[in-house]
Amino acid sequence: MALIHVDNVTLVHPVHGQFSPSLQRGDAPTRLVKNAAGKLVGVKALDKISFTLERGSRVGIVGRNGSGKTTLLRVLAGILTPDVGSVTVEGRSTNLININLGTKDDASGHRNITLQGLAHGHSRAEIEARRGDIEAFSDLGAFLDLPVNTYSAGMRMRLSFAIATAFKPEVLLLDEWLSAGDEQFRQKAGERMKSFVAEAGILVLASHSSALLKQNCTSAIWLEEGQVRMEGPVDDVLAAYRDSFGEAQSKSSA
Amino acid sequence: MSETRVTSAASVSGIGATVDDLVTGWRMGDVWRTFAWDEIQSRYRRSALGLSWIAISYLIFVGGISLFFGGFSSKSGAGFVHHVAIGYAAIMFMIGNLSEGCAVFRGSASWIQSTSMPYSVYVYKGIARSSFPFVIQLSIALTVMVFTGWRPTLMVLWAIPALAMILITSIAVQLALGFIGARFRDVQHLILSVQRLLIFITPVLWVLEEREGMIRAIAMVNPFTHYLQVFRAPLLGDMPDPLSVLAVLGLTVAAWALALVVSSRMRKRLPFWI
Repeated sequence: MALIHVDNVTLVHPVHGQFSPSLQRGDAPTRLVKNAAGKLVGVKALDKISFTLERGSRVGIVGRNGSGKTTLLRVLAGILTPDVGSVTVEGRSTNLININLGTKDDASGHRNITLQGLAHGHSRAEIEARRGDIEAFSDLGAFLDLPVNTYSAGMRMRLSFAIATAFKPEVLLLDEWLSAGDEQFRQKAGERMKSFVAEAGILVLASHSSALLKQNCTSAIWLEEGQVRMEGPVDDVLAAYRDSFGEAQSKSSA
Repeated sequence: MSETRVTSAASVSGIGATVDDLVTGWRMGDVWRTFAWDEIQSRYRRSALGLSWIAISYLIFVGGISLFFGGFSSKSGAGFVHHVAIGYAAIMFMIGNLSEGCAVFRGSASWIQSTSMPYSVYVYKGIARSSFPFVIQLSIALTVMVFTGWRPTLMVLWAIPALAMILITSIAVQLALGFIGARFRDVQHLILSVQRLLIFITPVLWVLEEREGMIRAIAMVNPFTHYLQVFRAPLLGDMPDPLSVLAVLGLTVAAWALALVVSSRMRKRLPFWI
């Protein structure tokens, strides 16, 4: 049983230190947060976001750079805590948000299976039971005995994806980097995501690739400047999102 | 298996959230032991002598100090070696907590930013890792002592609660410094500067009972003196000074009070700071 409920979430990314005076003026971007004395204290990454995802949802998150996609995933993963509002996640969740985080580079692939499995709360018995599946799915063969720092980006991704999905999470949070895989692996990954959503899990996938989103998602959320601009079926949201490019262009040329 | 996680500003701040973190993290012993062991191995990976470096560097230091400083003490030759052997192992572990505490979360940034494990896991991992050289050094010290005429008495058992107090305080110190060091980057520089001094103002290379005046006064306000005295005295067959016992109890409570307050107030923002 999986459910995600995001209730009025606002999150300010704190900043510390001295900044250019232009950032403190009245015409500075509105997402900058200042204290009573007018000093810059943070950037509003998420602004009053609310939505509910039921079991079996496959949701894409779209939006321009800096719209809050990754921050939202991190909040859903329980890594970041909102300043206002709350996030409720029912079901065991796994995230693959940044491929370079959460691996031990000088340890072997096999050792990383153990470490990452433990870090995500699995017992040794469970990890050993899944090791064969991870070996087969990642298709890394003898490379699993080499340190991870000898891997290419695509190989790292295969390993992390194989580990994350082997334990049958009920909620899977993925950021862009799925696209680092080759075509064959993307298909394999897509099938695995479909099968796990069919078992009533929830998939949340942030991406800039319309093809990837259409292939894996049924609905989508469009974020703009930290707010939900639109929520609906994936095709509608992607179409409206694409139309907004023209809007932005005509605005800038006018 | 189903679980529900609610995250909000209220659910991750406060004493309750901190205690919950410490308890949940403690139960994940398999995780922090494995990570600690992995870090010990990677620290000595590709060195020919590997883990024996822990023993070698310890023996070089204790041997050298005993030779050069032995003449300054009224303690007999072997007695001074015992004093230094235990004192050095213990002080290195204790002051190591200061610098490692500052880095305990920053060094694990990659995991803190990708998993929702309790933060205390990183503290337990850090202490498990630094306990490893401590245990090796202590074993060497006791072995050397047995061969140089040391005969343990029942008094030795008092070192066990003393060691427990050292470990319990280490958790609080690393937890507090982990947050403070992540938020205020100057703290680690301060600590690195003070750390070197601490070896000299704690009675490791000299004997507290032989000193008077200024040196003694400084040693007595130094918290490490008291932890060291209550641990070392029983091992050398002496009853620890009741004043030091009281100081250790008070300091342990104070360290935990600080850690709970710091963690309660700062833990929400940790991922942004590291």
